[in-house]
Amino acid sequence: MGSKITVTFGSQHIAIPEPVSFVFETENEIITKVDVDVGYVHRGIEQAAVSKFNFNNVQFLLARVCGFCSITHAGAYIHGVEQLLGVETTRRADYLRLIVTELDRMHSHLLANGHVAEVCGYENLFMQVVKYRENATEILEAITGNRVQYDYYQIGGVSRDLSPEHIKMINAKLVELRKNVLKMRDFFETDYTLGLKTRNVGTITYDMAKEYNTAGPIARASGLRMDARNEFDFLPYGEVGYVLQTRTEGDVWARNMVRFDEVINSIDMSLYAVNNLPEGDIKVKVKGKPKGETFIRVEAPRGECFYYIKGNGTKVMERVRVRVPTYSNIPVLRELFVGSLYSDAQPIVLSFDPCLSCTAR
Amino acid sequence: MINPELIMHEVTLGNIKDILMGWYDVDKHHYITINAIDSGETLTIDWIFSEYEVKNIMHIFRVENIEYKSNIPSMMDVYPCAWVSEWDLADMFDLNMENAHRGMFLEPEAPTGPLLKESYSGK
Repeated sequence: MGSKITVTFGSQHIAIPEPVSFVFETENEIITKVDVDVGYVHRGIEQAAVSKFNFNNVQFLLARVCGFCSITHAGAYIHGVEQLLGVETTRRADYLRLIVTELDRMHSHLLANGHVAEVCGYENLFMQVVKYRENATEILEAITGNRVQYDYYQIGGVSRDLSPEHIKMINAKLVELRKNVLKMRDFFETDYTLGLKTRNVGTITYDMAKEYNTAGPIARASGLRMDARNEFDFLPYGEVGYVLQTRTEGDVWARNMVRFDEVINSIDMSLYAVNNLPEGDIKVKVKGKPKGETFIRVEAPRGECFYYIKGNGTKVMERVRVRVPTYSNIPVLRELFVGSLYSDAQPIVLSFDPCLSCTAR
Repeated sequence: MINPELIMHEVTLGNIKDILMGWYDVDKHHYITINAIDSGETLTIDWIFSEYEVKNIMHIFRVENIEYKSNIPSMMDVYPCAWVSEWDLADMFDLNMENAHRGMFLEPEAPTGPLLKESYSGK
């Protein structure tokens, strides 16, 4: 007869910087049932977007849905508004948007993998990852003015251009980051002890990934070829060397590997874009007020971010709907816990790189 | 500028579940979310999908002119991940959503239906 214990994980937990609550029923340390609560940081952002802000200021509100993927929230909204207004941005602005979006992915992915290492007992490795990640955040600060929470996207273009000094600095820092990411990737891939906590832990099969409509690196680590960059032309990914990264193992280890491979691809795309920047203005003039509805998909670091936007020809939007990747990945996470060891709960959760600020909005 | 191809499917609350049961192909279709829009008098609800590795296509199953207290069917039998988006919408629009547990996104003392127009328009 096994011993049955109910264990609460959160709402404040040392492994996760944001509030989320799981209540596990365990039998001999195997999780048998899970209850989840993700709504601790609901801030009424969708309501504020249609009642407190003019349409040309809503992107600043949406950028604050989440500090890390602020660029994708503002970007998704602005792509939608530009479509409703019939705005055609310049290729230079599109390339600059792509560079910042990929820099955002680099620092988010690296921190996610660092967190997995930390909860597996590798605190020094976490610090090393964060140290290397500084290269990406320093570039973001130089381009946008902020290390996180950057308001770079503007309706019609971007807020700042790159100078020759910027381009030189970005090249040097990205080359250095690429070298260090390869070094870290090798360690995560081959270290035996880290592998004990990551290999064959929290495995999502290909069928499960499809059945639960998973998104982002979680889906791709299980072999599901699903990436909004591949399915929706929101930025010129076809011109800069984008490659869809997948694995088939589906475990914590595979999710780490997909993130590292995506960081390498993001660095390569950014290097190409920064060295092949098209000539032209960074912003076009925009007139009018948005009228009509549109559906937008962009690929945030954690996966597909979906926006529905409806304007009624006035200065205030009619409806803004935000669906973020963690929101999409919660159902499979809940299923995945069942049958897992309680001691594996931390690396499993962290390998999902959950963003509760995004989910609760 | 993005120009997605939106494939609109006309459905009703009475047949949406049967239609999705026949149409949804787990190998082909990716469920994105469910969305509601309040006109101030009635609701419109969209069930939104994409297709794996197909560019710029979205399928929208739309039901218009829904009365506020109508019963909305759950799609958890069609795709088991439906519950998060359904519970979210039930909280935000005070919907009678089948099998929805209330209070996951809103605290118990929060005003009901914060995304209904009457809750923020001052009417």
